Amino acid sequence: MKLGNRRFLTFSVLFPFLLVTFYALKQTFFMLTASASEVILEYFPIRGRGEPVRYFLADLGIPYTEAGLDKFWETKEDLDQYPFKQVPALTIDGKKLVQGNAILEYLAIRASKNGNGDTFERYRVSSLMFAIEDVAAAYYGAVYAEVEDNSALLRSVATEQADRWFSQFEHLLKQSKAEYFFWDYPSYPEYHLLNLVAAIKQLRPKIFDDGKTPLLKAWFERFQARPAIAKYEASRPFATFNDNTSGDSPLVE
Amino acid sequence: MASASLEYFPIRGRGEPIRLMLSDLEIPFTEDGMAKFKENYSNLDEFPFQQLPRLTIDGEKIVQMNSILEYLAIRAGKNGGSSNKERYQISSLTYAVEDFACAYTKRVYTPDNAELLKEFATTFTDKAFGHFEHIVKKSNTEYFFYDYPTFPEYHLLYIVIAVQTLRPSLFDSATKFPVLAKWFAAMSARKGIKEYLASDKVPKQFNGNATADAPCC
Repeated sequence: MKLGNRRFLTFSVLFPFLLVTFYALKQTFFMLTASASEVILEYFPIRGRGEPVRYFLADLGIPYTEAGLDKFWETKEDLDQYPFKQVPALTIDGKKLVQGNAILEYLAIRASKNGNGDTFERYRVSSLMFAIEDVAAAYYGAVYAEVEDNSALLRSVATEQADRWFSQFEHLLKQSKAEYFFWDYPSYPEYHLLNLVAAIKQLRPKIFDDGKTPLLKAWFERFQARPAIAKYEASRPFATFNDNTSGDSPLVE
Repeated sequence: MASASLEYFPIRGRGEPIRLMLSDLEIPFTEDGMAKFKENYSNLDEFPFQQLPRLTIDGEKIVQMNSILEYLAIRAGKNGGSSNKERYQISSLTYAVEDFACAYTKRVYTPDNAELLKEFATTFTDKAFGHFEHIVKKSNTEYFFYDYPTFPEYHLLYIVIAVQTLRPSLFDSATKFPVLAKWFAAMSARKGIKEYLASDKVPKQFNGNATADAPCC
């Protein structure tokens, strides 16, 4: 073989081989050095269904990495990684968890912030979670409605629907002998409600001004004043509520 | 013998998973309709979220379908182990089934939904059932996690019946979901469930309208 051809062959075979080997080693190094205690959140660069998890991690003082979605877009068809092909996904204790509300519950149990285990108390926390999920379904249903103009839907969420929900939550707070819905610390569903109340208030800034839900107003302010929550709110990475701009501006006087 | 009172509309809807679970647990129950709800739905002590279903059991009135199912599971000692990991796997399945059920319900209550229901029963279901198939394939038993159904599996059972009504060929020999098909067969063959499904207690209508009561594809 001529010298030139040999050089060419060496280059065209060796170079890609070295490149592939480099990236394989880099990946292996990363996997070996990522500590078992590393907590990683994968979600869109918005508040959305990631925000309750961010709130809770902040309040529990658990440091985490906001990893973005590169890995998700690459491997989303892998049902071992993303069982429902969705985010948020939280890697914690060596396991990747999905479904926002299930993640919140896991964090609460892990931190022993889930009450005393009494069955009826568990029921009450659970029923609050699903009631809050009903609010989420209506809010996100309006935000992402496949219509040209969703402002009427959003307005309905922020007015007659919110009035109904807020009076229900007010009633529960009235029954509570504690600072939050059940205890002197927030139960896991309350982190989801915190984001939804903020989202609804964004649509209708004066929602608490009529004085009809003073306990809910006090709960909202008290929650935001928790030192870790206040610190998080002052430096949150993503201020946009949703994946479109609906929800970011007031719609109701 | 324990007994319970179920209040719901005269449809399957969000009452049906509770009926299936009560039947499976052999808890006798009365079907008490919506009269009290109609009278009293603005009383937040009676109906904290102004909704049905409501189940009266052990002297307590409980609401929110998924919370009712979970309560029944804990009460029966059929809620897996106490480890966080085990609780998480049941919880995440609950929300995934709920996502699928909401997608169904949203289309049912959209006007002019023939095309929507068809797309739901085919393309959408194929995607979602692929996720459930992946999970149940990993199980050592006929059910998702244990040798008995966990509470979200009663909700899934109802939803699968609803989808199969729209798409009768769902679990035929060419099915893409053979393990889910086996799970469905196992659930349907359980004594209390089989008796209930064969009885005249099952509401004729699935939903508040009849759009999803017959095959669409």
